[in-house]
Amino acid sequence: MSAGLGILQFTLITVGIFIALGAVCGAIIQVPVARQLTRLAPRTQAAALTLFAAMSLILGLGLTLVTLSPSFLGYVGLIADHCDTHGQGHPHLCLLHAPAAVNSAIAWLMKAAVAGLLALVLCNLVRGALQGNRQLRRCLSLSHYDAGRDCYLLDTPRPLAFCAGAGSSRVFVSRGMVELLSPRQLDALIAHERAHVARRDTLRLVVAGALSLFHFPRVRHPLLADLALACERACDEAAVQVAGSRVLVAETIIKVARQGVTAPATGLAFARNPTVERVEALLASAPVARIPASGLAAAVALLLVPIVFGDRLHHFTETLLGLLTR
Amino acid sequence: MNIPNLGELESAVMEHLWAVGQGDAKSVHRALKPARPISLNTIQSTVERLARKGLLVRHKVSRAYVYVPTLSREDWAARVINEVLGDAPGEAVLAAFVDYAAAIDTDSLDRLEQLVAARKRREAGE
Repeated sequence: MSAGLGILQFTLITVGIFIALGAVCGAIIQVPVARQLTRLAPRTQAAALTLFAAMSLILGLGLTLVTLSPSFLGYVGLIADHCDTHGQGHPHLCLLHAPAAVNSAIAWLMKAAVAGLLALVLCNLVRGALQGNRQLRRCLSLSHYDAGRDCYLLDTPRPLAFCAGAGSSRVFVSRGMVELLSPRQLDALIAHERAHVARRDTLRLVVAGALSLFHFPRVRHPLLADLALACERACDEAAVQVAGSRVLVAETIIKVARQGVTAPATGLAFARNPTVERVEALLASAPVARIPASGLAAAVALLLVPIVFGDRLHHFTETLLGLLTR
Repeated sequence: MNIPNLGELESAVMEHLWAVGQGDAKSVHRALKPARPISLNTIQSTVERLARKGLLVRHKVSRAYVYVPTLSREDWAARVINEVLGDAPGEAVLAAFVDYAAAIDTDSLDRLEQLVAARKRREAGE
């Protein structure tokens, strides 16, 4: 029992160490990676940014799995048990020679920090999903389905359009919006929102919002803003496909944004405004869609490094755990 | 006033009362019965629940309670939408066509319109 607890405890701490490593890597590579990603088509950019949001967790779980792999392989008899060949100065991440649980203050602190962070992320996921579904129910109770436009019409004079719901989302357009836009503009707007539904963007943003809690706040906030913008731009491109005109989609965005002007003219342009960036992107030429082969090769090489050096990572982690929990 | 959640039957009752202005449980039951098999008791407890949620007020007319909506359908819709849009500023559970939380000034919009006009002129000239 205590042996089981011991391996569980050291696994938890190992996950925490690698998540922290992922967070540090995220902070180092964010600026250059974000800059490179802006050259990609928004769809690809959004996918890459979603992966980036989950990077710390993926690294945390992935490297822990690689670290534990010699133990698993030894346990099922595929490789020889090696624990006796090196010293007893540190805990063994081994299912055959499971370490005893450590009760030092630092070990408890690390366990509490990792467990707390995992619980926080889980709470955020659940809260986001529940909130999305509550919003969906409320919007459905205020609207009726328009079979012609294949969306839900909200009976309000405010010009609104959005898709709501975390699991299965629906498109909502208000009476005010239908009256504001021309039929072609309305088609473009509904195509944009329908693209959000097809891409499951609301769910994507809830998941990315929760998983990015494993990044530092100064990495997380711009990352989520970049992701939200990439999703909007991906849906703008989908709207262009339906409307057949980049200018029409740009005009629709400006027209709707005018209705929601909340800031008076200041003479100062905001450093970053999603509406401005979307319109500018639409007026530029259509984006390229390919990830450069060198980028893919680098990613595959990075993935292979810990797998090839799994044995060394295993010993390095054991030594580190020994030092940390002594 | 907190915005309460409404179930499907509660929504149907509210829709009916918004349409006709007021009514007692029997008249609501008569109106909703053709569309759904429900008892008068169910309707009675539903209007009472709506009154407790603050969406209906009741007053006694002869021996029955008559229920009246406390706010119009438009006011109710506006409140719910305000709550939904303001629910989680910054944390996206809603994908809005324009970001209602991000402020944009008229100068920026004027500049974007000029860009659109320039692009249109260029396309017309080609």
